Amino acid sequence: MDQEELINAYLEGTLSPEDQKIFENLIAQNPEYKAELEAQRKIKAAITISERENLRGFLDEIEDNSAKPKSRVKSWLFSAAAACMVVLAGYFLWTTLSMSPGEKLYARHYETYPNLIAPSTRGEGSVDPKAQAFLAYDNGNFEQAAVLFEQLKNEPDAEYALLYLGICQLELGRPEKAIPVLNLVPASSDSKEIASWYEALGYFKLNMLDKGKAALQVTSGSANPFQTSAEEILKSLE
Amino acid sequence: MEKETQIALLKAGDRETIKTIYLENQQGFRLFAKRYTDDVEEIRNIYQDAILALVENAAKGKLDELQSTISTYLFAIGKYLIFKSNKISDRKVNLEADELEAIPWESYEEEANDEEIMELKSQFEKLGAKCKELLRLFYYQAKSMDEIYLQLGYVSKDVLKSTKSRCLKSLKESMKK
Repeated sequence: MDQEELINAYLEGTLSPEDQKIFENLIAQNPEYKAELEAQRKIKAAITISERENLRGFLDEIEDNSAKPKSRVKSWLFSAAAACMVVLAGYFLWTTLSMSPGEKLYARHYETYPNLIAPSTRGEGSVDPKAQAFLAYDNGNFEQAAVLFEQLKNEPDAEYALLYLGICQLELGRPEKAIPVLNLVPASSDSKEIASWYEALGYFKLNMLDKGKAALQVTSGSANPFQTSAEEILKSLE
Repeated sequence: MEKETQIALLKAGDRETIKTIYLENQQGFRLFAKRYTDDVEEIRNIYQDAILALVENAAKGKLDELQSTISTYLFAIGKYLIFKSNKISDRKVNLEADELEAIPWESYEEEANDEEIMELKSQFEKLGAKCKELLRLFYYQAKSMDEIYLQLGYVSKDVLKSTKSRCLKSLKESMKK
């Protein structure tokens, strides 16, 4: 390794123990080397900041474009898209009309809840059942995830397993199984409002509006990501 | 797309892949972050930082052995950055701090206010394409000289070394003016 490579690896925290020793000796014995370390650190910071600004500009562009649709579209493409829209709108109208009011609420509001419990990223083919359950969940393999959460839910401090098991059941189109599980999340739990939100959606899917409203009361009761939506639905059902 | 393919494309800095990942996780992350803050602007900043960290760590080979999905990794970085953010101080964040996994990521917040470093930055941006690419690989992606030698196809390692010295010299000299 040349001097700059050694410094660079030090700044990255990737020096081997032997190289770390060499490096520390150099620093201790040679004031010039210390000055060079400082210079290298600044260069690295400057280049990194420059590269990040560049990429951030690109991300801002994505963000802005995802907010508004593209304007210049070839006319034939536009016609084709318009034709598709008519068909889609017809289909949507047909399915919406054939949906119960509860199912409509479900369709409008249901979103898969993100994995907030075990976003761990390491481990060689982890055998930890919790990690496995969430891996399946993240991969959209809800059948497998449900089986694993089912096993986890009886362990201590495993309220999360009830919540995610319930969501798996909703994903699998089985609200009747989701509801009792979600209801088991204790009121003292941090996730109670979230669980009630999904419980309410489960009732809506079954078009049991009154039961759904009762569950929504819990969600609208205190701060959580679904509070506003819960309040809106309650208002619309009055 | 296969996870391995996507990571390989990320390592190469492929912008289409970055865009796909950005859009795929945008909504989910917003929902996730809303648990901790209503500051939409800060959520957007943190999400972009998480993407930057993902791209950088991929380039540095830290995702080569990744067991989880890319999304899960991205959320782990995001959660870590929420915890580190000065603008968000929430009971919940602190409670969950223990289970957080430290993600290697230097924010360079202080450095961005250092005049000398910002001057270095603008001098770097004025360098020729060849120098820029070489220094970018070495400092930003933390590639070894051997890797850069293979990637950029220099005639010999000595030529590569002397080119790097020349590039660094012109960067440092531009500072003295």
